[in-house]
Amino acid sequence: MALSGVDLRLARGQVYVLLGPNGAGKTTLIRILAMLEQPSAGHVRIAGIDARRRPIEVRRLIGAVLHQSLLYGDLTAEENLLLYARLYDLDDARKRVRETLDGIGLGHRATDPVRTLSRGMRQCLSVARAVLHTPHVLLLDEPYSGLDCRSALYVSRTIERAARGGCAVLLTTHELDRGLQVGDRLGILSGGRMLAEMWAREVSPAALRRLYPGALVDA
Amino acid sequence: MSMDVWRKAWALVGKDLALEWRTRESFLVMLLFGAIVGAVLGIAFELRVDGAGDVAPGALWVALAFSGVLGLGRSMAREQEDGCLEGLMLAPVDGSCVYLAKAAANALSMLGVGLVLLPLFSVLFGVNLLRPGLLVVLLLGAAGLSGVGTLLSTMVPHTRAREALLPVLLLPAVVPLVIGAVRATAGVASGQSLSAVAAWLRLMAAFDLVLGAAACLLYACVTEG
Amino acid sequence: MTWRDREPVALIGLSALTMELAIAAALIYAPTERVMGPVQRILYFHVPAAAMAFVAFGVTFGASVVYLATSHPVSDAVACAAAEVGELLAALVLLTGMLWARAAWNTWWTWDPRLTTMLVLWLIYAGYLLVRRSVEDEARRARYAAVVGILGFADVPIVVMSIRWWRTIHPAVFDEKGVHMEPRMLVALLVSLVAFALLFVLLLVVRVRLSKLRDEVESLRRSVL
Repeated sequence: MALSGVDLRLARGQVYVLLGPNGAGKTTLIRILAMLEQPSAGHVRIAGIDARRRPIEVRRLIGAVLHQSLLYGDLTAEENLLLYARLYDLDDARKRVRETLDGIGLGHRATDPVRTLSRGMRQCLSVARAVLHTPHVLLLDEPYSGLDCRSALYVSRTIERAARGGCAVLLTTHELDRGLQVGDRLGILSGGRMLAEMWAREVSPAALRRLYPGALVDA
Repeated sequence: MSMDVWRKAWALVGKDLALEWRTRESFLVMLLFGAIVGAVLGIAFELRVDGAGDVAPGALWVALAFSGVLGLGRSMAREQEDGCLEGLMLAPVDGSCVYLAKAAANALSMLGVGLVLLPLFSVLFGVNLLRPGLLVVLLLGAAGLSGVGTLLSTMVPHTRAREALLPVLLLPAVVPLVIGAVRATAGVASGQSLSAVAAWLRLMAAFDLVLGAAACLLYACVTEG
Repeated sequence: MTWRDREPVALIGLSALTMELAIAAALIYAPTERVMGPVQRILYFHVPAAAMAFVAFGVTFGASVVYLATSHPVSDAVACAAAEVGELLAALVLLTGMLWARAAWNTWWTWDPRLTTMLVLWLIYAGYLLVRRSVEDEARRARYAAVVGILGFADVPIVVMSIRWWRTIHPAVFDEKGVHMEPRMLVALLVSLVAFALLFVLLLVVRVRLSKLRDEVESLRRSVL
């Protein structure tokens, strides 16, 4: 999906929710911000650093949750997190990983292969992986899809905590209510263009529904 | 390169070895396939070639190259399964670091397969391949196969032909390596010293260095987007 | 419309003219070789085609490097065009080589170092063209192709070297230290070389123009739909 003329500014401590139907370009935007794809034009800057010039430094500041879990199914939860802890040069990797696992209630299953965990647990682990290195920017692509209540609660809490810690959060969803609930600022993306941006506290669910394009609104 | 690049590379190699150790699936498949290639070639040549031992070095390297293709495909499939490779790309790690780690892990499993195939081929083809000098040949060969193959295997999952493209790209590219390996293996197997086959070893080393360096530099181009 | 957008009429004329000249030089002007007889005349096409095939693969390499550095689509089109023309020329080399081998050694195929080298190169660049066909996304196709184009060319000197060492026992068709030829034969060869060089440039230009036109049609279609 091609994007054009999208100018997105994320502020520290703010949760920005990107709404839009499937194929609106949300995933592409996230992937460009996560530096997994190069934009054909335009640029990404994080904390004032040009992402293309100093990619390694910028990557250190980004945490991302994508559609896929980014976890090795045959490694244990602990091994997965340890690998990432090492790749991000974290001190006290073992301790940090332990605490993280206890935090998501996976302490007792730390040595089980990720393959054997439930979808919700895996998603929690995937989110935990993304915030392990306390990023300055947290990108989440549809983090709530297919989650049970408990896992969804953990995801929301992690987002809140990250924002309170001064992290800029960008998440995409096609669920309007969820967006209103967790977001400070909302943007509606459709056909690769930003249709509207607004503050969550200034818009009612009904008004948002009217703004939302097409018949693709999910229940 | 700084210390922490090596530390990260080591963490990545450790990850691949742990994955392989956990399931052993790709190693066993590679091993079995290598043995099958050996057996099939042995049967195919049996009635037509007088000294089966003469074809042993060639058969060995064909088997290693083919089973290497299989292993490379498996290792990359594992990396793509849950978007893990993208996870690595998200991390503050140089593409070249990821490349070196993957190539080292792939080379190690090829080396492992080679070590088991040596006695097997010795029996099948009636030659003595159990000579320490062959370790050097195996090492150089595995490094070259994996050096080029790791780059190509990262690329092929994004093509329409998928894994079918890997042997088509890899095998012609490694012809010089295989020539060197077969010649060196034949020399060592017939009792020559390593210095007697030094020219072939140098050829293999040149292949490893030139193509390994090229692949290392090019790796970032196949991982993004 | 720039000069590049027009049909390269002058180049077509020039190329056709020199090719006529080359044919005349090869078939009429050059004397018949004493040992080989008329079959030797195939050399006037075989050698220039081989030389230009190497040039073509070199152009693919250069254009691939430029593409990775600049992401300019024209360099990708040049890389692709050169590889296609190179494959064509390499196929010509193989065919003429086989005809010659049939006459000279009474066999269609011989593992002569030059012929073998050309076969391996042909296979490597066949893989290159296959990668191009197998990737949908334009930017990715160009990037992957560039990677294979660079890796393939890095392999060329090693392929040449390895095969030469491998086949040292075989008789070299020409003297290694230079061409000792009858002057009129040399003239015919040089004329043919010029003709093939022009043909190569012509095909390259036409092919690059074709891909530009195709891109234009594609973008027009997209803007209409």
